[in-house]
Amino acid sequence: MTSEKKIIAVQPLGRARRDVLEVIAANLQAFFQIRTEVFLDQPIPDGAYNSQRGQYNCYPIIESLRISKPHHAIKIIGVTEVDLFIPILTYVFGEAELGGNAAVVSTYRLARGKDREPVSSRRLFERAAKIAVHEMGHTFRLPHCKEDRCIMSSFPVLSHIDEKTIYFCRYCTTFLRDEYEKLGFA
Amino acid sequence: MVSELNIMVVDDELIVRESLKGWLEKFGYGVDTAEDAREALEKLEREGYALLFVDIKMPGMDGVELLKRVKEDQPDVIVVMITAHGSIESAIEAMKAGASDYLMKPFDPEDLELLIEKLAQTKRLMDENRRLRESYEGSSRFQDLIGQSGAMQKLFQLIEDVAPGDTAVLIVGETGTGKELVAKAIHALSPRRYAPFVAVNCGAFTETLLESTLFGHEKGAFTGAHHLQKGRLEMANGGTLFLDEVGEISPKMQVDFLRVLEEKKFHRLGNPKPMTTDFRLISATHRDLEEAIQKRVFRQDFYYRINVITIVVPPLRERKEDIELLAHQFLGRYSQELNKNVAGISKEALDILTRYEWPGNVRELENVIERAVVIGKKRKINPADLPFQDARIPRRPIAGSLGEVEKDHISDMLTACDWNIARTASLLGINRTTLYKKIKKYGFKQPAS
Repeated sequence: MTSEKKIIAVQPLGRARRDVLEVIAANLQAFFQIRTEVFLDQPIPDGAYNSQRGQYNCYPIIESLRISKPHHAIKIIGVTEVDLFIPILTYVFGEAELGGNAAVVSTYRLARGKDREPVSSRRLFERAAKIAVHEMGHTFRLPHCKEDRCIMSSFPVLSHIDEKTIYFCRYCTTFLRDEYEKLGFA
Repeated sequence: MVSELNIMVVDDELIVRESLKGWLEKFGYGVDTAEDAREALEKLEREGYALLFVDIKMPGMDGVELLKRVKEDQPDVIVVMITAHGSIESAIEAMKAGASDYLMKPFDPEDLELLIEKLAQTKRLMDENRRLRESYEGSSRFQDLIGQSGAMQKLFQLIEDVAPGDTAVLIVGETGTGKELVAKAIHALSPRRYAPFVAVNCGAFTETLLESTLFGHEKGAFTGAHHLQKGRLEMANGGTLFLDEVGEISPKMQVDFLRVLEEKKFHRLGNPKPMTTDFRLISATHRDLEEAIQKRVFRQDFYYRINVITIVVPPLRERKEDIELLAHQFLGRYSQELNKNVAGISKEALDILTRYEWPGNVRELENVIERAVVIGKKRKINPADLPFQDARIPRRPIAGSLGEVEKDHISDMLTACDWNIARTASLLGINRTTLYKKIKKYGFKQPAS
């Protein structure tokens, strides 16, 4: 099922590698069966940077994405290379509102290995795609899943991300289908 | 996803409340927030929460004071203190006042996730403990023995009269009437209630296995006795020994057991040293033991020893006024256990239940209601959810042989239970291994999902 009228917008925020954007767009299109479009770079919104933490707060970014979402997009996902946080956590790989229409992912921590050395592009692509699919799943009201292999299970650390495959378990597939029906493009 | 923890976040900072709420909701938890201690206490009284995240520094009543108030009123509520300004003193004070943990904002994502998992586990254990305590202290009075009928009221009175003594009781009644529940109720109301209630189903063992089960054995007492094993007679010391299906005990075992009852002593197999034991004996049977005595398969002296007081449990068809009450009791239990939204029984279904003769008694009624909750698609149990549309007429044409009836029934149950083997086996009253053998025998195949 591919919705011709609606798209998922992939929005680079500040610097973002073109190949990473393409990989994210391709994976979102494949797993959600909704056409994706990569948009031109936008700056990271003012007020997102927290000088005390030296990181960027996800909430103003998501708010800004929600406002700037093109009319023909049902969801928008920001992609950035800066380090993200939410107020209660020291860092996040990405963030999305459950049932909202905007999400954001950061490649800042995905680009490094345990020893802080850069990882291969292939590993980076894989991690970025997983985080993007996971966060986009939240916007379709999928909560964290208890099945370890499912892409909607929680992964607070990098090693957990690498252990996953991009796969929706049958429950998440069902919930996703229900949400599509509610949105009227099943 | 069903939330196992109902959570409230108490913090004067909106951004923290919303951030933590959003993060927890993604794990499927139900989350509420309060901006100060006063609002938290009001909500706690009104809604009830299992877990509170409480900021230490808040205007008005601070977090530690709130923690103390919560622990005074609702000690089972788990409280985790959070702060942006950590100090050893405040941490110690919070932990002394009953906080389960103490976290510094911002949290490491992995730490927070592990903490939530740990607290969910703690909550599950607390709930399990409470359930066990309640089932022992409260509902254990008459357990699941339910009934408003005159017959059941007389039974309850008899149980209360018999319980305080130490005399042997024989409970007689048809299969499924709840004889073991009567035995447990007697035990629960007796002075021996804090000691073990040990049940042995005499019909489930061969003679030699029953002997070893009751008397226990030493290591090496016979081939295969690799370990010392305590017998049920030993385990029941101080408490109650319940011999179910006592009519199935062989004449030889009756003699052996009679000796134990007379001397209060026994030997473990393979050990000549006698051991003493002290238990109250309650036995049960669905057989006519007096007829068995006539046929010389049951010893009269043993019968008199186990039958000082007889309690007769009435069959369900003789107390039809209890059917509705029992059906609703089982409905409540299984709709909760199976997480199904079945809230009632239609009048038509209730009529059928009341007209039916219940050869399998209360156990059969329980199975019928459990099955109806499993397969039911509506908020009420309807005639279509019952295995019999009419009290006497089977739902489908009777198949030619017993094997065909069995095959059809197992197939129906597998479908109704969505091929959940454990549940199907439970409803059929057989173990999983037997069910797997039947599936193989009849060549059933699970449909592709």
